[in-house]
Amino acid sequence: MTRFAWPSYQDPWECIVTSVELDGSTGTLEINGDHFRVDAFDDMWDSAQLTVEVLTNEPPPIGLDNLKAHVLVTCSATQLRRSYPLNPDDKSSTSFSGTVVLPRTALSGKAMLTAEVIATYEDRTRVVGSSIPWALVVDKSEAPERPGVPPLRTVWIDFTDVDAPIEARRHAEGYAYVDVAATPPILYLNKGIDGLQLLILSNSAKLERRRHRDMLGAHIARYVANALFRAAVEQITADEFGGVPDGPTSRVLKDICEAVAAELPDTETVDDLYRAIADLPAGTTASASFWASIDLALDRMTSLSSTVARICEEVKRV
Amino acid sequence: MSDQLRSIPRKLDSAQREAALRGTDLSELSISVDRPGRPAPAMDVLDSLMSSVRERQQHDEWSDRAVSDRWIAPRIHHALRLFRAEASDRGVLQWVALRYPWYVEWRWADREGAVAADRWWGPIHKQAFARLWWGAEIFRDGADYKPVERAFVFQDLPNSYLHRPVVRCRSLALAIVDRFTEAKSPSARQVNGLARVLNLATVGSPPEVETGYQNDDLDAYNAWVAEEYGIPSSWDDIPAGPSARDTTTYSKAGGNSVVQRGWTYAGFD
Repeated sequence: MTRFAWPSYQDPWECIVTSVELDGSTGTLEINGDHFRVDAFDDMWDSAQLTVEVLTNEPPPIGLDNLKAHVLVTCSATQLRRSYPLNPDDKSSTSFSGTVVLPRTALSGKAMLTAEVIATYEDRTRVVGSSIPWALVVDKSEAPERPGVPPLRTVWIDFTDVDAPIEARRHAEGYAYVDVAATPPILYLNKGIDGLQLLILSNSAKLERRRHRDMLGAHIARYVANALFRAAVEQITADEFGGVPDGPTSRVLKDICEAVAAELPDTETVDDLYRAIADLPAGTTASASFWASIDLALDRMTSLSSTVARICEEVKRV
Repeated sequence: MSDQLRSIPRKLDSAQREAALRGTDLSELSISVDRPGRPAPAMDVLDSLMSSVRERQQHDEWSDRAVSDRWIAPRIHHALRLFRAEASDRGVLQWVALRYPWYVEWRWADREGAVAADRWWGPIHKQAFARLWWGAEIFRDGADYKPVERAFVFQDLPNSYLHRPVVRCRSLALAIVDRFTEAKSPSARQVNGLARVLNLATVGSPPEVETGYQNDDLDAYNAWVAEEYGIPSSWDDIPAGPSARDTTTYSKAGGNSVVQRGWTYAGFD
C-alpha cells in the first residue's frame, strides 16, 4: 500500500466482490476471492454489475474527518478511469458498499477495481486507505492459467531437427530454449538428449532417478523464469515525468513480474518493481545487490533452492 | 478494398508491411471487426474524409505537417466511430494505417523518407491514427471538439500526455488544455513539468474527488457509435461529437483547481 505523508491506514482495506451480474444474470460466473479476480470472458455480455463491500478492522487514524470511500475502475487498454462512490454501512465508517456498472464496449483485456478511502486532513481531501485491486478479466488471454497448467506451451523437439527454432539449432547441445518472441512464449525441450524426455516426464521415478528428475525439473523452471523475466525487463520503460514506468504488455511477462514483485522484500506491488528497475543506477553496488536479490528470488520461486537443499540432505547418507 | 473495418491482429514486420504496401491483399492478413447484434463499422465516411485530407495536403493547405493534426483529429473521431474496446485494438489501427499509407508516410517520414515502425503499430501517443483518434476521444468535451483542436496546437501535449493515466479524468484533461491555451506558447518545460507534478499529486489526492465523481456518459457515447451516420456535405466545418454529458460546470471547476495547484507546485506561477 502506498504510504503517505499524512495519517493513513496501515493495512489495506478488505474489498469483497459479493456478486456479479452480466446483463442481469449471475450465470456460472466465477468470483475468485483467493486471487481477487472475476473471469468474465466465457459469455457474451453487454453490461456487468458488480456489488462491492469494503471494510476494515483498523481504527481510523487520528486527525481525519469526513471519511468516505469509492471504487476506482481503470482499464489501461481503453484509457478508462471511472469512480463509483460507496455508501457507508454504519456510523463507525469501517464499512462501505455499493455497485459498479461497466459496459463491455469500454473494456479490453482486464479492468482493475480498487477501493480507495478518502478523508479530509488539514482542509484537503486525501487518500487515506486503499484495497488490494481486483481484476475483471474480459479477454481470456489476460487470465492466468489454471493451477497446475504450465505457464508456457512446451514443445519437445530434437534441436538438430530442421523444424527446431534457429536459435535451438545453433545450440544443438542445449537442453531447453524459450522463444520469448513468440506470442505467447514457447518452451522447447531437446528431444535429442537421450533419456531427457523419459526422465522429465517420469511419474514413478525413485531414489537417484527421482532426485535427478527433480533437480533437472527445477533447473528448467529456473531457466524459463529467467528467460521470461529478462524479456520482461527489456520492456520496462521509465516515465520521464516521475510516474509509474510502463511494464510489459503480454500476460505471461506481466505474470512473472508480479510474481517477482511479490517475492522480493522491498517491492509490494508490480509497480514498485518497475520503478526499482527503471531507477536502478547501472554498475553500482545497489544494482549488483538488486540483481542478486532477483536471482535468489527466482531460485526460490522455481523451487530450485528448496530442491537443492532437500537433495543435499537426502544424499548425505547415501 | 474492404468496405468494412478490419483488424490485422499481429504486428507486421517491415518486410510484411512493404509487401502490404506493394499491393498484397490485406484481407489475407486481416480479420473482420464484428459487432454482435450490430452492423460492422463501414469505411465510406472515413474514405471520404481521407480523400479530403489528401486534397488539402496536395494543395498545401497546412503550413506544416503537424498543423494538420488539429484539423484531422476531430474529423477522424467523427468519421471512424469506434467503441473504446475496438479502438484499443492495435490491429484495427494498423489496418487503418495500411489503408491510407500515403498519409502515414506524408505525416511521419523523416528526412530519409523512413517511417518509424511505431507509427504503423504502436502505443496511442505514437501510432499515426491512434494518436489522432484517442487525442479526440480524450480531449473532447461531450460533442464539442474545440478542445481537441487546441490540444493539438501544442505537439508536446498529445505526445507527452495522451498515454498517461492523468488525462483519463476528462475534466482534468480539459483543464490541462485550457491551462496551455491560456499560457499561449507554453514551453516544453512547462508541459512536461505539469505532467510530472500532476502524476505525483493525483496519487494522494484523486481528481475524482474534486471533480464530483463525474464520469463519462458511456451510454450516450455508445449510442452515438452505434447510430447510422453519413458523409457530411463538406468536411470544412468541425463536426459534432457524441451528445454526451461528460462534464459539468462543477467538474470542470474542480479540474481547473487541480491543474492550478499543480501549476503552482511546479513553480510556474
